Formats: sequence, structure tokens, C-alpha cells
Amino acid sequence: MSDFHGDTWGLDEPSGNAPSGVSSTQSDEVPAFRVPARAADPEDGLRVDETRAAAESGPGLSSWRPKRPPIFIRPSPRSVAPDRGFELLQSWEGTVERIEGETFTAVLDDLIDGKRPRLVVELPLEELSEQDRRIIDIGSVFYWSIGYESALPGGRGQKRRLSLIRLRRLPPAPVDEAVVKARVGALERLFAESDDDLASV
Amino acid sequence: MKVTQEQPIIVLVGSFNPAIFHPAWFARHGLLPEDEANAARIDLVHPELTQFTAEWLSVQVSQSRLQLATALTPQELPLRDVAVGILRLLSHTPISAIGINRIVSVELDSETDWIRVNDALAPKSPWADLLPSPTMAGVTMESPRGDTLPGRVTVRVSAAPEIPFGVRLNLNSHVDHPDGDTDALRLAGVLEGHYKRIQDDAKAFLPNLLEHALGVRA
Repeated sequence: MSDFHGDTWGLDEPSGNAPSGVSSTQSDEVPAFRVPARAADPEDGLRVDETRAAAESGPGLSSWRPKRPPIFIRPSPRSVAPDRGFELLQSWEGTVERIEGETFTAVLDDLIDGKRPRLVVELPLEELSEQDRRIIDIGSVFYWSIGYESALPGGRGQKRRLSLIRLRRLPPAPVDEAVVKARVGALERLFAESDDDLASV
Repeated sequence: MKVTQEQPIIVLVGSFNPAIFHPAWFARHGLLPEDEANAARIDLVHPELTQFTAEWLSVQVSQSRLQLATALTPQELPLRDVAVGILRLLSHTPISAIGINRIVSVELDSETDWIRVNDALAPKSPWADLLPSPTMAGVTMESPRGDTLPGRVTVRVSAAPEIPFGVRLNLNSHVDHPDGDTDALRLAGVLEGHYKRIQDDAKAFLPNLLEHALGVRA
């Protein structure tokens, strides 16, 4: 991941084979930026220097000139999501029902096989990250995954068993003003009808 | 056959201001814990492009597209939550489509299997007299969606040269805005309601495709 590629991104297709790759689509659009890709991209079969040479000399692209200078990014090894292997054994979505002392009780829904019955568990708060311990509350949703993490990609290298709990972080849905207006209107009508009924008694 | 890596990826297609997507913005709005945002590796924050990697999350934002990716399967649902959170926070940002994608890297058992997959997906006979030694670099198939959502599914199979007898499968589940609109909250609802099912389908589909190609399930 230490070289560059001259393609533009596709629409909603992932950009290349790794998170920071690129699509191999040729486009008439002027790329506003250049993004990094692997040195040898199997999708086009060319090395980057060959791609550049082809772009400079190839028919149909010879008149291509950037309207503004592209931005080149030299990615660091961590510019893509970490390439660690993780063999997932089990995962649940939990909802916190009670917090007492150093533990919390939660209901777990199986994320791998939804037909399995719900479980109720008590877990130590220590299982959570410090940041999650600050925000956990009754009703908090969390994800609990158990599996093997390998030191090297592809399940190679030293394995270690991992239990990962992560609280769901989601801002509340914005209030839909149209829905609120409709509900207020309905309530106002209801009260008006009640007033009429009371007046007629 | 062994799955060596899976990468869930979400792409939002719309109109973005890349400069706002600093890791601190994600922390300020509660999408990422502060310690993860503080430790994020920032490649670029610029009006035309932002790119950074937090502990498990890779973010790339251009003016027309926002991509969130992770290489860690336990973070598959937190990835969705970040996307839904962005759509909720930027509810007035026009979003026209979303891509719910999965890239799966597979190590086949032998060179024989690799050749069988190669031949099944890209028969060599049309090429035999034209090229001295044709091999499949990549095959892309597209189909209308099989569910009720508007859009299409694109599957790309390509070589994964860094893996012995490696194949990479890339499933792009494109969902157009159900109302032909650009309402971000409507698409947030689509993500909440359909993301897990689409990822589960992709998990099952991609290895099955290779088994079909190998004749295991033909």
C-alpha cells in the first residue's frame, strides 16, 4: 500500500480490494484527487508505473489533461483498516437491563442464529472499555463477539481468543416535524372533542 | 477452501463536505469513543478529500461519496451504526444511493481448484486462438436485486495474488433511494432495516459461488 494509482473512484462500489484501494474504472471525468492502491493491482494486471505509462501514451487518453492539480496522498501502513484475521465464533446483540455494583445484566440476542433463544447474562463492567463504562445505562445496546484473532492475515500466526464488547454509539433520530405536527393536531382535535362532550353534559 | 478475510464496506453516494469529517467530529457526536478518535491516523483532511483510519474503521470522503470500511468482522454492526449516525446527523445532506458491500478473500485448496474456478467463470475457448496463455484477471456480473429494494447487485471475482491460490470476491449491493429522492433519513432507515440481512446474504453467497464453480454444488 505504498504506491499510487491513477483511477477515479466508482460510485458505491468499494474503492479497490482494500478499503483504501481504487476502482479500475476508466472515466472521462477529471479526477479531483488520486488515491492510493496496491503496487500491483490484479484488476488491471498492470503495475502502477506501467499504468501511468499507459495513461500517458495510450490512445484515447493522450488528450487528457487535469484541469487542476491532483492531490497525492502517501498512505501510511495504517491507512487501511487493520489487516488482522478474526475467526468469529459467536456474536450477540445485548440490551442492558440492570446495572448493580461492578456488574450489569443484559438480554442477549444471537446474531449468528436468530432462532436460538434469548439469553440473560450478568457481566462484569470491567469487560467494557473505560469510555464505554462512562456511558453505559439501562437500555444501552452492545455487541459482544467471541473469536480467535490471529497475528497475521488469513488466520496465520499466533492465535489468541478474544472477547470484544462494544457499546452501540448512535445519535438519536432527528424529530420528524411533519409527524410531530400531525400528532399535535390529532391531540388538539381530541381535546376539542372532549371539551365539546363535557360542555354538552 | 478457506475464507482468509472479510471486509464489510458501506458507501454513501451524495453531496459531502469532506473537510468536516475529522475524527474529532466523530467523537464530538458520539460516533467514536474519544480515545479511538484521538489515536486515529489522519492521512488527509481537505475540502476535496478526507481519509483517516481509527482503530477498526477506515474512512474516505470525497465530495460525492463517503466510504466506511473495516477489516474486522466483529465491527460489522458498529460500521452500520457509524453510517446511520452520519445520515442522522447530516439529515439535510442529499444522499441518492447507498452501497452495502462485502469483500471476501478466499484461499483455494490447490492450483487445480484455482484452474477449475478460473475455467468455470471465464471459459478459455473464445480466447484460445487469440491469446497465448489467457487467464482470468477478473469477472464482473450484474443483476437486478432479488429483494424489494430498488437497485442492483454487482459481483466481481478476481485473482488475489497475495494469497496462495487466492480469489477475491467483491459483492456490491447497490440500493437506490426508495423514493427516487435524496432524503438521508429514509436511507438511514434502509440501512437499519436491511444491512444485516444483506451482509448475511453476502456471507453465504460468496463462498457458495466458488463451490458452484468448483462443481461441489453444481
